[in-house]
Amino acid sequence: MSTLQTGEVVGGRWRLEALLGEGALSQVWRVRHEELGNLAALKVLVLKRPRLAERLLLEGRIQAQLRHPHIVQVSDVVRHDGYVALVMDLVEGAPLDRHLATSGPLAVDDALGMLAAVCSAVVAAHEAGVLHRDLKPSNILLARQGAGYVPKVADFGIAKVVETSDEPGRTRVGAIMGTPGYLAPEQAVDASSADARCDVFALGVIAYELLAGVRAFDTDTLDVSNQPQPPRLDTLRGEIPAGVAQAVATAMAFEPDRRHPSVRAFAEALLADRPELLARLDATASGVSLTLGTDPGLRRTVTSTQVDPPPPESSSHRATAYVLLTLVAGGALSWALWPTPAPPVPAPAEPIAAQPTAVAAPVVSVADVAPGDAPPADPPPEPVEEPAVANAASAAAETPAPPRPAPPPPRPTDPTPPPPEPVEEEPAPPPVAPVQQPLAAAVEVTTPVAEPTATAPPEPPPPPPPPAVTGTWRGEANHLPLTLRIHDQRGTALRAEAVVRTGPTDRKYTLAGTISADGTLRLSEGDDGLDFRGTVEEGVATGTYTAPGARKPLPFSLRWERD
Amino acid sequence: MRRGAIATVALTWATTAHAGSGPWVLGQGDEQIFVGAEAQRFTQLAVGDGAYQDSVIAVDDGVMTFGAKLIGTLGLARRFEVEADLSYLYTYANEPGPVCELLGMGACKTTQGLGPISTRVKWLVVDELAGRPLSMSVGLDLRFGQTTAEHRERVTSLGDGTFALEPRVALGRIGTLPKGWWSIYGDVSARFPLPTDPAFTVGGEAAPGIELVSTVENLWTPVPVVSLGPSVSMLYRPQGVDFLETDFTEKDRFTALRIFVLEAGAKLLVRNDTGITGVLSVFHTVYAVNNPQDVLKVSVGVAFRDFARRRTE
Ligand SMILES: Nc1ncnc2c1ncn2[C@@H]1O[C@H](COP(=O)(O)OP(=O)(O)O)[C@@H](O)[C@H]1O
Ligand SMILES: [Mg+2]
Repeated sequence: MSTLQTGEVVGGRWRLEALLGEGALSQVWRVRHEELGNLAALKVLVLKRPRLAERLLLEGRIQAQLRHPHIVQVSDVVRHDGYVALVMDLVEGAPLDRHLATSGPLAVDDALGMLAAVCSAVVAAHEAGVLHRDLKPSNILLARQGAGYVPKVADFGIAKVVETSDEPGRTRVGAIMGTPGYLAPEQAVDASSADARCDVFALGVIAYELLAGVRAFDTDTLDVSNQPQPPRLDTLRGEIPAGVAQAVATAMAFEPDRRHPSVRAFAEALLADRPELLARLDATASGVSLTLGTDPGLRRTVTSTQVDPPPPESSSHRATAYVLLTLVAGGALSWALWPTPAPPVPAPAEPIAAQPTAVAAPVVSVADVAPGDAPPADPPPEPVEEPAVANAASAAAETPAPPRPAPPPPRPTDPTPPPPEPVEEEPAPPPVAPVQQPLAAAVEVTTPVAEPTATAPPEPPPPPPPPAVTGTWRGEANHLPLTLRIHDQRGTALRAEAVVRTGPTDRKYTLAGTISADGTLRLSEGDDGLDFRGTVEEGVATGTYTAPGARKPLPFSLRWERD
Repeated sequence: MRRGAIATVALTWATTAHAGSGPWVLGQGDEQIFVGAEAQRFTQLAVGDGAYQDSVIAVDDGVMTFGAKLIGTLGLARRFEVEADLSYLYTYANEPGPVCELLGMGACKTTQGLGPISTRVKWLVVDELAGRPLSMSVGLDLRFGQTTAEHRERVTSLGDGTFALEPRVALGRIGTLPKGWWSIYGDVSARFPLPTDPAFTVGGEAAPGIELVSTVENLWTPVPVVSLGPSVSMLYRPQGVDFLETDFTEKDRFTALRIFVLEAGAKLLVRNDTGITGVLSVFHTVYAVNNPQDVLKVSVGVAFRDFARRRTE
């Protein structure tokens, strides 16, 4: 990873301009398209994994349908030097965690406005069958818009792609590399049990943090359930209504059954007294702009015609650029996909490529074309300018522009293209996948597409037995020789010894952990010792580990030597 | 002028220890016991005459040393290790002749007893396992040499008789090979002798002076069963007098020498899956000042990992 340099071209077309941030498993760069000149964010995943690219593509197809003003849109998947990178909207602005670090608790109105926007994004995603699984303030980016900010949720479903290792054609049971303090307890214990209520939990924790100004669970351990529940919000701040405090407390319940069954239900409870905010839940085309500040006069304003700082390029140049980009992205995607042996999904080129076409209209307002702004497919609630549909349609014939009459605003997944011709007998991916937890299921379902519902995803099917992994595994931890002896497996529970070669002698660690049906491996020393997380696939285990004193997770890879 | 021979031979013993090598430490609660036997022989002393002109004295028919060594190592805490090192030595001159006679003070008498007892603590400050490019440890040895003080005037001495504090820094790096691994480390320590006997002077100067000790070792392990590689050790005591200048009537006549010894050799380790490692090492002096210049040293030993833990399980 350290090899990525400013100025380097990734995926044959994206030139790295500046490192925007680093996560546990990724670097995010501001990139500029070599030919088209437009800016985007490129998220490079640190893990080198066989088939990660293919999985990301499958995931990306579904994610590409998540067009929503509060979702950071993924538009392309590229490879670089064995690494996989996602091209997404560039959001100009700070992530929420950075904002909170200086702002302290938000005014109640600001917090609820922000939560309404974030919930609307998550609800839309859930209705399209995508769980987020890693909701946390650093994944909520605050896009600068005029005098205000538009919250945008990033990294939908990426946690799962990174974590799951599965054979194509098998139902994936999701797993997650979560973030301590935001991960639902059941997710920490058994990642495959993740459902909508995991996102409810994380939203509850985020809501708490927005309103209390402190983290609900300030811990380094993944499983928060042995922490005390934080004090109720209305005991901390008098102006917080009891109903809001109750909704947040319910969302953060350790037992999933005691939480709201869905994000929509959480939002309804949270915003019961704010019908105007609640109405936004489905108002996907609204350009909600929040003013975060202490000045009450600058409070939240609903804006659909906000004007951004002037873009670096002229609109018409950029319009052309987007048209070209659409074509390039489509081609790129086909390129990226072709090595995948007979993907169990229909032809690739549409959903991701579809994204920018609407913006191609030269008459679109500046606010709408600014990089990193609300994705173009979302016309404002009271559209001031109308995207030039003819242009868009000609730019990418298979991608119709969003429906013209705005009110009522379309659902994020409404403007889906007509299903492409199926490559195989399998049905096309549903334009709006039913709410469901394992994403691969969206691909494998052989029954007709169900109507989207607002209810919680169905319980995942009982997981198949986990793979047998006892024996000796040899490989590397970072650059050190590592031998892992898994000497005991009972169901999903494992006990093992890790031997790390350190020169003439070695260091031994006693580990315990789990293996789930989809091969998600977690072994740790306990307290703050060595902690391995990865996936097992065909006798190869890969992932990352953390060690005491390590600044970030480090890669490991192991090969099974049967005893 | 043939006044004879000497050696602070025992000083180089520690460098062939199997345990304690490099910056690395055992895991918390892990232990290792090393049991070894060593043999060495020398016949020639490189002696300075105070004018940087070295000549060689043959110590009659050579001096032999046999020793047994026990080293216990324990991972006390994460990245923190303690080690104790005990040896029993037996030294004699093959056929004491005129040189031994000339040196006087029973220079070539057979001597046996405990060698210097070392205890050390080592703290791994920089850990490759945590993503750093190198491992680095700092440590402190306490060398109890008092048991060797009684016969320090002999060529067959077992040590210089001092109690010394020896801080140490070690750097190392490990890498993988297709089926095994390699490692390289270097360490440097400085021995500060604290005289335990007012007689530790030569002509009014405290003896011995500060010593610098350094080792560089590189092991290749193409398959987990075997490691092999070169090792180089150095001992340098810059302060002191040349051999031909020392006062041969003083008990500290040899401790007062300025010395330099460079030895090189190879180590072979053979290990099995149950935590037992056999070690064979061979060293020979490459260059020496005021010390034996042809020391051949062979040591064999076996290291047992987690011996106590396994027995209690
Ligand atoms: N689309 C984006 N546009 C601009 N900045 C981004 C974007 N995505 C991520 N970032 C920045 O990169 C940082 C690292 O992101 P990420 O790798 O997802 O880690 P994390 O979410 O754990 O902070 C974020 O905190 C944010 O500052
Ligand atoms: Mg993120």
